[in-house]
Amino acid sequence: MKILYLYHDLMNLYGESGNLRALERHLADQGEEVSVDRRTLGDALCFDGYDFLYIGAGTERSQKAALEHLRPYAGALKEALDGGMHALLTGNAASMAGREIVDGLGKIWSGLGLLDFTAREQAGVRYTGDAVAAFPEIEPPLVGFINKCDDWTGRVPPLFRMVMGRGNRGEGGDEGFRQGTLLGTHLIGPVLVKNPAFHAWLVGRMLGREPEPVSYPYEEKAWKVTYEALMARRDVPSET
Amino acid sequence: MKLIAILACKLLRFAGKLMGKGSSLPGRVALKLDPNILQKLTLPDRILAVTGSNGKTSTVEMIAHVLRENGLKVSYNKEGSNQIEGVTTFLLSDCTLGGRVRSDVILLESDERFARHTFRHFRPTHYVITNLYRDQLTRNGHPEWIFDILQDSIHPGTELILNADDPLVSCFPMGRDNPVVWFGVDRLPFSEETPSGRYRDGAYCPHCKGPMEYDFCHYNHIGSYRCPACGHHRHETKYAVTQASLAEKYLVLDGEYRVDMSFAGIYHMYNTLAAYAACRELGLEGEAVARALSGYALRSGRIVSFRAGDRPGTLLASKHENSVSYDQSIRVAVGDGRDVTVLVLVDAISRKYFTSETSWLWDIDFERLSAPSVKQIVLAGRYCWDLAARFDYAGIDPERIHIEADVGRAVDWLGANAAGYIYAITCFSDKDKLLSRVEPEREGQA
Repeated sequence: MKILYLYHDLMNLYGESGNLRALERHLADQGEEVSVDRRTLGDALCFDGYDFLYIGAGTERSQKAALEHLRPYAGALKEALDGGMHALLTGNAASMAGREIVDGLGKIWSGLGLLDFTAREQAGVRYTGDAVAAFPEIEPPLVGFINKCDDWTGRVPPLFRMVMGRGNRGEGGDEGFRQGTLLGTHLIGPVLVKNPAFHAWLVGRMLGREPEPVSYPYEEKAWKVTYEALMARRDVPSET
Repeated sequence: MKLIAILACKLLRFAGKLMGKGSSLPGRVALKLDPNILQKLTLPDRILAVTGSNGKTSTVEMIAHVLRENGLKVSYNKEGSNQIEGVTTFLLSDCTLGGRVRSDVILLESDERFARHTFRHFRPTHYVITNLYRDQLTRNGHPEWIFDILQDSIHPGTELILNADDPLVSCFPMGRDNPVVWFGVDRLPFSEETPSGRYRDGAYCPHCKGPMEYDFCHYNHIGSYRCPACGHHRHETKYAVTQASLAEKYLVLDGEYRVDMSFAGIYHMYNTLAAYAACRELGLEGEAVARALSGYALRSGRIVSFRAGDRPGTLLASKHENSVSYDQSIRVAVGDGRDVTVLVLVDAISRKYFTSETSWLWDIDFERLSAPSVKQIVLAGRYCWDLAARFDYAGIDPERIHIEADVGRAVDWLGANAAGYIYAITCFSDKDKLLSRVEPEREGQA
């Protein structure tokens, strides 16, 4: 299983590197031989032969630097996705996949054009907070953290439906995108560590089969503690 | 209306103190009575504000101590009330009925997100910015976001006293003509050649995002950097730590003044240096500042010695949601030299607001705890399973890790089983859960 981890030293805002460490282990637990290649600004990119691509969240300025570097490869990326490569973009890495990003100063940055949406950043406005997201393919909802300053306009096939926290536009509603093997979500941080059920689902998709049952008791207990804490707080107004 | 607002504030403050109430209500009432009350006060000619991710409170406390030792009358928001209502309360409490603030110097610990609002009403003459790190991202977004927000708190004419070793803080003077004074720590025996830690916030220039180079690092992205692409670089310092020893607990300022520290850590050195730079800029002599700083013990229970059963230990109060703060505490535990047992306690992630967010655990360099001197590790509190999941990837022998959600049982376990000296790493939000179950000994020593 060959994994490409892009901008590991730039788009790693809040523990995103944990996603790769966990994915590597969980794939190995399924008997896979796993290799991870890290590429970043200044490196030439090639997607040939990779099974999975990951990009994490960054600051708005880091995201623009990553986008400038990645845009010339948008065609090659689309080909790799059409050829069956799986990809997960978390945080504002997901916002790069659309038609364009309008930043807080009104400047327009061409996106990767993989999906038909515009990400609009708002100067001085930011949405941060705990989140719970329902995913139709599995029972347990995801827990996580939204930390973004953009809303999306346009038609996007969603990945999640927000139970708590902000979606693609406004509170609740659709969140992220899912188009074939390409997944995107605004959730930032070690999404796969925090959500073992979603992690197992993703591993299954990559393997093309139902994964062998492997128990991850720490991740599972941690998910339960957070899920229960968030649901108990769901209707209590914030204290800040 | 000014007199009424001042009177109302003083009365409410008096009543609030009797009832042990917080300090924001009197200011809120005064602002309701006269929204422009702060602009009508006669302020002293020295107003110093301190902001940044870490070390604000320690730095402000040290500055207040030095100024008072040198005979100056100082008022500051020591209750941590750094929002506008709290600032109003403490200024009005300190002024005459005519509206003249009595102190020689006003000191303000300023929240990064609220400084821009506070300084609409009056402006600091001196503004210390200590550092910008990943801190409480559930409120703060990220450091560059805070950088942008802080821009609005800087007004023409204010003298900036900045940490030269922080590449993001060093961007503040760009496009401004404020007077700027830099402080920094020179290369020391324990400096590192390359940035350390689990992430690389110094990998790219905060100004142009070109790859950055470092001559040396003190921790994380703090050190001597330069960007070959745009030329952004560490500035020459006016005030510096020129020599230091962690083992002998001292530092030397500007090659002249030795300061003995009750607690040695690179982190505390930066706070001491920032306090020194600030006091020098307020007009004090180096010798006098260093004398007052020497032997100054940290207050507010940041460092507390205790016994669990008959086993001695030290609490290192850190900040949840702040990996740099944890990394510093881990360095202290690993650098002790003796065999140690480390307790990490995460029970309530914040004392001010609710969050269940644990991503920050993946930014902490827990891998350092794989050092052979760390004999045992106890993971405790409501979020012990998040800690366990993180430690499972840290390359530490699982035999050495003990997981205990209940804090009381974790302390009992330490009392019965801890090997070597105990270091307890947790946040202000959780430290009392520990201290109420152990025998605290004394503050400020380690």
